[in-house]
Amino acid sequence: MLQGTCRGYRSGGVICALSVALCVAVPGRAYAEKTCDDYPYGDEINIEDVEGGTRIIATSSVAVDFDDVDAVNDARDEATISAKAKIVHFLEEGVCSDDEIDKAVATTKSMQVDTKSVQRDETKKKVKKLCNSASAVVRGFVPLASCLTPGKEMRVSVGYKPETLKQAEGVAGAIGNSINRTPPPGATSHGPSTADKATAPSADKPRATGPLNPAPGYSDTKNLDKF
Amino acid sequence: MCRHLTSLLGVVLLVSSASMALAGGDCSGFAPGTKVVNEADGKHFYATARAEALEDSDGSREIAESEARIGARTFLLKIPGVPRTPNGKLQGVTEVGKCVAGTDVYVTVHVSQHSAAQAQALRRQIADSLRRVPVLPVATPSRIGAD
Repeated sequence: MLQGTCRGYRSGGVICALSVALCVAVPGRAYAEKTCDDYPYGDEINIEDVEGGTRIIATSSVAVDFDDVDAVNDARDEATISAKAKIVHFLEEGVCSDDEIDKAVATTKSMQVDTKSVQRDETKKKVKKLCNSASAVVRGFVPLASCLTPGKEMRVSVGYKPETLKQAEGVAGAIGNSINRTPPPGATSHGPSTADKATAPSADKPRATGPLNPAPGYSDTKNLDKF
Repeated sequence: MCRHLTSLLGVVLLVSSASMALAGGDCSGFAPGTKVVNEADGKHFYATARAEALEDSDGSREIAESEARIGARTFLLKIPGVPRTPNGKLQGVTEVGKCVAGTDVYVTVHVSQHSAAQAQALRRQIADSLRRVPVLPVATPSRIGAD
């Protein structure tokens, strides 16, 4: 096949063959695993007016330190919470900035027959406290899409629009009505509670070791297109 | 053969120079301060703060980034006319710029009368929904020995 393709090139037959081989090999590797390189959103929040209210897509990026499924799952949870927190901060946030300065002065005086000396030591301690807080009970935030670059970052996008709020309200209302119609049986325990079962990890137990369980990179954005 | 090599070399040089132009932090467009811009949909308020990392490492830069974020919001609070909630909190604030150059971190935040109105409307929508359908109660198991 290469010979057929490169026929007609007088002196560049070797270079042509090499180029064709690279053209086949490189795209094959590129399509094997997706990453966050082509993800449409960075660490940001996008807001636009739509009919009935506002549509928000908040994306958060979290570092993945190990190419392991456990680390990836933790990063996904963290990125989801962080993206939701972005929206909560947009709704309302408090900011505080406090400066505290403590000054201490120590003076030592000493006197002898015909001399007097004074020593003064002064120390200043400055503490600056910054805080930025936001909290709210919210409804209608849905995870939309995510991507993973193995060993590097996980990005999660969370969305909100008036339709998701209505859907969440509908589901909560239906469940609430069902519980009101047929209350669940009272929960009682006939054995030790789960809290009593919990024990501190034993210091003598050896730590289990084994190879990492790598997670392949991916970029799942299909829900973003129809949101 | 020589022509092919020359063109290949030219492509390699072009790619490497483009990479160098994209890499490296240059925050010349960022300066600490505030700005108010009048636009068709109302006033837009911008605030930029700078923080310095103690050392040139990712951990220190992350702390500096948090400091710059809060600092920029503190600047916003000081601008007369910035839209606030009835209890004095900021609303509708988004981060529109971030730049890192060595140990210097700059963050720019933005709020407008329009974005504040969006945040206020959204809070009202969610609050109305929670009033119509309150949060589901969470069942708690009875404790042993409670009776």
